[in-house]
Amino acid sequence: MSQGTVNVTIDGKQVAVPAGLNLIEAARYAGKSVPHYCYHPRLTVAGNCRICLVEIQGQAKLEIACNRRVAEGMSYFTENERVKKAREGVMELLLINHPLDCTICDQAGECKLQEYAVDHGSGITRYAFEKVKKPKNISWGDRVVFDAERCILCTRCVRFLDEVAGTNEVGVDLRGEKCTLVVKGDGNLTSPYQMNIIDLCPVGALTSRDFRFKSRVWFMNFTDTICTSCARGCNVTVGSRGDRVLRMVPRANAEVNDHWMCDYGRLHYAFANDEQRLAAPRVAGKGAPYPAAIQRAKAILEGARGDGILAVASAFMTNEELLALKQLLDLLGVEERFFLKPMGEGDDKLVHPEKCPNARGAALLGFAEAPAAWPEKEYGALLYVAPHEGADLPEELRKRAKRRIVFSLKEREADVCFPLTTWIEKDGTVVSAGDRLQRLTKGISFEPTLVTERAVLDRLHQAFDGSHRPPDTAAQAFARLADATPALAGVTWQKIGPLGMKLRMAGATA
Amino acid sequence: MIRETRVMLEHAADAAQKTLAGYRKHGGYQALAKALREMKPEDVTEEVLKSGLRGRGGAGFPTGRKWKFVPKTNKKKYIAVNADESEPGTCKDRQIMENDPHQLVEGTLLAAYAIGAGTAYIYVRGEYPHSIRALEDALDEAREAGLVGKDIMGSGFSCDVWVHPGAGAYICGEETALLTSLEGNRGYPRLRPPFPAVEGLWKSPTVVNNVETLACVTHIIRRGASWFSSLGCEGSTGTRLFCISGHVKNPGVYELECGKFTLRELLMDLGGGTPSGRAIKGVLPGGSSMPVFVAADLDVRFDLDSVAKAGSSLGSGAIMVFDESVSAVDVALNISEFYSHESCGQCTPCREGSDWVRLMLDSVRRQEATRSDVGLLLDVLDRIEGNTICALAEAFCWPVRSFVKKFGSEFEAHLKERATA
Repeated sequence: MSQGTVNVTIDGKQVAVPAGLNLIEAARYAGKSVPHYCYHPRLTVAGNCRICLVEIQGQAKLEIACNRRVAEGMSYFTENERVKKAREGVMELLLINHPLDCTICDQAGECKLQEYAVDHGSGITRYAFEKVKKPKNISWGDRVVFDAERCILCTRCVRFLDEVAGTNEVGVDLRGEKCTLVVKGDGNLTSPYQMNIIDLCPVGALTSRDFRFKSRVWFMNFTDTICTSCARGCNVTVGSRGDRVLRMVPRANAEVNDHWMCDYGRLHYAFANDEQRLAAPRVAGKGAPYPAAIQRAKAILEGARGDGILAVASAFMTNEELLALKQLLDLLGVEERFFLKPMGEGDDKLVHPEKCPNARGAALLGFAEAPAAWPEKEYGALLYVAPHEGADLPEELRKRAKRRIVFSLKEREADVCFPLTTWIEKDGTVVSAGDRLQRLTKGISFEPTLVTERAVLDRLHQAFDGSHRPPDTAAQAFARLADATPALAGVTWQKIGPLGMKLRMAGATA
Repeated sequence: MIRETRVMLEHAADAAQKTLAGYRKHGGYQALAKALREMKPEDVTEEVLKSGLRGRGGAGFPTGRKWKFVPKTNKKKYIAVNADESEPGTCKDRQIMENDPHQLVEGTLLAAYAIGAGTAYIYVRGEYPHSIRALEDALDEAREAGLVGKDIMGSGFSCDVWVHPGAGAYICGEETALLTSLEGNRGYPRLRPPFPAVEGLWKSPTVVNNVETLACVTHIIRRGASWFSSLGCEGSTGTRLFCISGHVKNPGVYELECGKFTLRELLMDLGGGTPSGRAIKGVLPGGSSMPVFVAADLDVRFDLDSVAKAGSSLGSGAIMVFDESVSAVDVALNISEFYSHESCGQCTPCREGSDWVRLMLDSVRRQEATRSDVGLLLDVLDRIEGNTICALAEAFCWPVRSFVKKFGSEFEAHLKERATA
């Protein structure tokens, strides 16, 4: 079906478009955007909102663009007078029973009703009757809140839960203007992917219990990065305000997560905002400036050479951080280099059993998975980078070294403690499941004075070797990494792009 | 004087006709025997095509052509019988189902044989318990006699026929909503394309035919296409059931040959005129979803094409009459109340618009509407009609618009300006 191209005329403009496209997608090739509510590229066509009506030449009735595919020679109009009038009519009908409560609605600012009302509406209402009353603020469980009056019955949520999540748990009840959505069973959603329906909802009918009322979206910053809760590396957009993360939503990537992400990953960001987290280095249980902490760390490492140094990295570190650590360990001649790989349950959709983003990168840079039991010896020093939530230094490791240098979010009592920066506070790369190289992008600074692990490790390196010249930018850091890593030969920061790229590595893993 | 030509209802008064033995006494299942022994499936389709039979559910689509849309694939195929007789004023299919159910079973089997369907479902309106009982009894007997099920009459052709009761939604009489409902889902109409003949029940080719249509098929195969097309007139062959109700002396179901009388003759001769002697004010000639005729329209020849040319439709064969004592605004409001209640709510214009139209007509009735409100009503109808998934929107847009147009002075008299003047 979708081989080759067909020639179509859109609003009088001739364009060649891939065969098999529907009229909404094809219009983009002519620079035209056809409004749509119910249509979504990854869900079956419902055709119920009727806002995408277009006029196909030679057809008496207007047709919905989502349900028709392009054909050779087809000519259609996305914005002639007839289409505009019909669209304005649909817009008016969508709003007659809508509460117009934008001032207290969380969707305001990213609401398709608002956008299309401005673009395609008449600006006034001719409806002079009382609006239909429906229930508001209905709990659909601990994550999703439903407002029946705002709902336009596009059934994107129904179709997502039927077709993608597979839990078939939302349906339409009643008829006509009284129609509303209901959740089966006890009224609480069960799907571990349920929050995707909040993103899918084009209006303010489904809101996130976690995010609602926290901020107007126009006050927020948005950063395209990836989720680090498991090895899948779902592409996401992090919304933040005042250097605190407020929400995470999926960003479409057909090769990784399509348009979706799991609820666990989406809601797993509070550790970045934790006001109790370590925000400055500590030496011997007391706050210390970075230079002092780095000098103390250097002294510990120098003093430990006789008894040996154990290095335990984290699979939450970026490749660039791992390279900085590797170079330091090379300089010090440390051979025992491990990384911790937290494991958990996976599913047949997106959730990967490796609960960390970069085990593949750690292996690529020569770190070994932590052994089942640590060697029965006492090292001179332990250099430990904690997983993001790997709280404190595990007792198993603590007792195996005389002195401890720890990067973590919480540890305060080790000989030297450096604060960890979370995934949203740094640029860098990771190797996700399927050997996919993906970029992390910095969105916030938890504290302006925080120094990333890569910079700390480089400064420590410089303390030993004054000739060490750390990279200045993320692109430079990656270039160094690519030079040092055969699997990354020829790859540049630019080439990776916002969607990442597949690496050709021996023994590719799922 | 108009006379009935009884074909489908010929034996309706015979209580024994409901039984297999009674039905057989009047030539029952001879058409099926003939088809299975002497005709190839495509011959059956050709015969139906030649007969000129047009669907009796409302749209009047040529039945043979509908069957020909079914692709010749090895995919499973289905017949779905639309017995969800819900159009206001319509009560003809139940005459067949309750008095002569085997006639429908036989027609269903003939259709199944023609398109190669191994299963047929009769989707019966839930409020028709007597029809459901009669059909189930008939099917039990037919199954027992080897007329339904495996290897029918030893021909190698197998077809199961099942009765499926609806649950009270008007929309399930819309052919694609009927299929969605049969599949066990909420009765929502589907987008076309694909059409049911290509992708119907469980995505398989499915022919949806009305009860009366399939009853006609039985007689076409038994007596031949040319016999059938000799009845009625060009474009409206055979006989047709009309349900006359409202302000007439003799309401009821009549079986008539189209083209041989005008609407006025029908209402006067058979209907007997109005009981009160008042003049007829309006007639809905094909169910509540069709544009209204006024007294001046009654001389239209009563067949599919003539009525269409006059701006309405024979629809489901329901003729509803109201006399001068009735307010046209009340009738329009009543119609819009029905469709607003029955709108399934799937697509925006009908879901939101059907109730808005009802409210606007109600404000006219309460003499609260202004002239510009009536203009708004017509404009809103324009924005709804033609822009929805199924024809339920047209089903209220057409009559309401026709009432405003044809009873303009009455709407005018209701306006607030007039009321307060």
